[in-house]
Amino acid sequence: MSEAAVDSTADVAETLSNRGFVVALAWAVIALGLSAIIAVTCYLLLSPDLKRFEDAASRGNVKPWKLEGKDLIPRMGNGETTSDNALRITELEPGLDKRAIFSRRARLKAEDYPFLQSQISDLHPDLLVYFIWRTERAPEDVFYQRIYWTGDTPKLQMLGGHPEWRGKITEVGIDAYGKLRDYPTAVESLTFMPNSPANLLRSIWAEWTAVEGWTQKSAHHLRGTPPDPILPVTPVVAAWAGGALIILGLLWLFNRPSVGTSMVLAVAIPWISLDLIWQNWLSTQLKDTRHLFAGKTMHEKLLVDWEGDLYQYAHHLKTSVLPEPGVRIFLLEPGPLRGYRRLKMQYFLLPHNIFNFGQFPRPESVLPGDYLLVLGEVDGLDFDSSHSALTWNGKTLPVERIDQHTLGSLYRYGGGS
Amino acid sequence: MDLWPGTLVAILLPWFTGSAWTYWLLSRGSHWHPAAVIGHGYLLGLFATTMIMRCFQWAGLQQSFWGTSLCLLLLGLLAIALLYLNPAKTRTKPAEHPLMAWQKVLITLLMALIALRYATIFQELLLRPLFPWDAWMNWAPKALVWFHHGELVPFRSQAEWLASPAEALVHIEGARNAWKYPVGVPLVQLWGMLAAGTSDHTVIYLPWALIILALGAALYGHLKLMGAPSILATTAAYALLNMPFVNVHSMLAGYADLWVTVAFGCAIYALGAWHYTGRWTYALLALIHAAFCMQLKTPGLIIGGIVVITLLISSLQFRMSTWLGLAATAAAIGLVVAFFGIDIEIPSAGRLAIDSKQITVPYIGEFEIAFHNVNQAMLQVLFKMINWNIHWYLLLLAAIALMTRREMAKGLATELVSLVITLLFLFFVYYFTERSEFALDFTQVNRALVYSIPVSVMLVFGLLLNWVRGVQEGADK
Repeated sequence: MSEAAVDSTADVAETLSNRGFVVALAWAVIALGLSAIIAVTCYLLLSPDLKRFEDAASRGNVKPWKLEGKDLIPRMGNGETTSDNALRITELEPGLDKRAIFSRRARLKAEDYPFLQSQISDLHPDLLVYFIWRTERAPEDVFYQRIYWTGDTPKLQMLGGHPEWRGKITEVGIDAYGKLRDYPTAVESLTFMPNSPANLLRSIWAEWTAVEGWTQKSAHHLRGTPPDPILPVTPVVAAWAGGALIILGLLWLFNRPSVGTSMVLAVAIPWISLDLIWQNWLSTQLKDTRHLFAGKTMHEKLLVDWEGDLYQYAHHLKTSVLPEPGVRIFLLEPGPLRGYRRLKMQYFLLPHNIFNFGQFPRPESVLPGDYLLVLGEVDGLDFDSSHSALTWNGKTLPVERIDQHTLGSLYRYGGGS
Repeated sequence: MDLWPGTLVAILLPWFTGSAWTYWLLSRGSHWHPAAVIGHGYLLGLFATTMIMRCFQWAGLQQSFWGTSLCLLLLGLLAIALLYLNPAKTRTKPAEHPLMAWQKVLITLLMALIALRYATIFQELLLRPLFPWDAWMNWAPKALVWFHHGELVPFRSQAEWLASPAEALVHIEGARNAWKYPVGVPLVQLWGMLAAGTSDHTVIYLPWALIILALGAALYGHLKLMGAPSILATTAAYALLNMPFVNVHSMLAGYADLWVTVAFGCAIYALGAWHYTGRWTYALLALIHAAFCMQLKTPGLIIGGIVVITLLISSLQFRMSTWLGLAATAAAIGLVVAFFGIDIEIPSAGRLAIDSKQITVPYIGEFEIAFHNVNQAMLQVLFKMINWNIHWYLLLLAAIALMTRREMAKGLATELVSLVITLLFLFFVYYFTERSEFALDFTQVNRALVYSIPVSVMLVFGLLLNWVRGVQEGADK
């Protein structure tokens, strides 16, 4: 292959004057502006949601109906009213999920209020908050829709898209579960909003700027919006750019101005806009990360992180109970093979040598000096203290119980059967 | 070694050594760019680091920060000595006008956006303990165990673990097949642990952000080599570096996918440079990156293989009719193989079996062949989610433009061929094997698509460069 000279043609961009660029930018902005106006107008005119809400409303000129935080009554957990009439959630009721429920009776027609404006301050990813309601039609059922974290400013969301937001609403409230922090979340107000194009657009914007917080799915896919959004942000931005490109293309056909740079800018500006939405997501997440972890040692971080209880247990075993790494440990747990908690426990116990498969001991494989860690309660696996043996399915394994903890028990096999 | 001084050495020393050798290699000719040297250099340096660590293991030596550092330093100094004895050729710099004010403003804006993004990324990475599932399930455990024992103790299957006494130090991971995953990524982590003097700190994962910056530098440098103006090269680097899915794998560090992405991207950039400069040193660099790619993750074996295939295709300067004939022959052979089936045992590798219902490939695994309609899932991940900004829309536009104006692909054959092969491979995996479930639940498909991103970004901006040149030539006439 012969050595080819690198092309050194001076390109259009480098010969484009400053004035020329400003003109190109102006054309791009005009095209993007027109594209946005056309797209938004068409969307609002053709929106099935707006039409449906308008047809379903029982009356015209519906006024917003506001519920302040102080109006919500604790049903589970506890809260206190603040000086500005907000409800500060102070206690979650212990149970399978630690949760607090606050509600009050209502009499409103769902179809008159297809939107909800919520103002909740100090919300964070560890506390999941749902708007809940009951209907006259199905009084025993509680329906819910998640309120996403978008910062402390009021945010709108569309209730009218939920199949059960219909008929007479008899009770409304908030269901919060997860973890409280040292700055308790405060529900300032819930305002039921009537149908309007502005409310629809605000709801869409709120979905685009909602921040879910990191989950175990974040490294697999990034939706960018809550599931089933009114309008997903990426195709809208692409359509915005595409519309601008079409407008510039038409201008070029009819007027023939130099549109190359304008076209590039008509793609770059939407790209950067979407990038800034993503940056907002990350910056909001970073504030939470700083709150959780800044100024802490690794040990302190792991204590407050996900599965902090498992880490604490593993730390106890590694520092106070187990010998130096080099022994074999069978980890038995009732969950599935790749269960999250058992795998996390294995990770926290590293560099110990863990065999993390199965629920029951393997008498044919266990060797003297091996340890067995039973995490949680395994159905059918018991420790017979009178015989110092693990028993399951008619089998036994003589072991010595080394440690007992709320999260599990550690045994050592000394030999024999 | 203390945490921060050690970590700085762990970052800078491989970068120095890798860059010195990349510089020596590429400066045998006159077509190279400093940014490309720096970009390739970090990847090459880390590859060299992992190989030195493996040599320590083969020699029966304990893993040692100082020992590895000394080897890296000597390696780097050797490159410097070679450069002294046989200096670099003067770089051919394409003619470049001084930057206009608007270009300076735009470049500053883009650099500021990149800086803001990576300031966010580095903070998140350093503050948050190891987070994503596969990171602490599959990749970190080996490094943690090796750090404790000071050697690369074996990881084996369930049966072997159960049959081995404790003193054999045979280990196993929580996922069934993770024990046989390639060890490139755990070795990178181990290097960080040895340098920091601890297995328990977030600084160990700094390379997950740095390697992407290196890739961005490589992209910038290669576009400059193609004659792209600074504004276009900077925009391409911004598009790549600020892409959401790329970012999330830096912030939630610990997965191997980013490494395969970077190794493949750098390999194809190098192959592209070989194509348009004719310098064999680029081809060598590409093969080295391909070798590293194969040591990072099981799919890296295929992705590295695509580099080799692309190299072969690039080196055979056949006419289009010959290529079409070869493609038809290959398709016919494929049909015959699928119909009659082959089933052979490859010594030291394993069983290779292909028929119309099943494929078994050594080291990769066994897959049933059947069509799975994952259209909805693919449309979602490419066009609806925020993973790739609006990149795939641009790629679609570029594909349409290419079909109408083939001359836009001038000088981009390598990128085009490698991208097509990669996407065809991914298409096959998710549409025709049971891996389709990982497209339907989105757990894996994006982590495979990311491999193609550096090449597709290069392709989009290469096409844009050609389009701009075409417009310029039209204006000049």
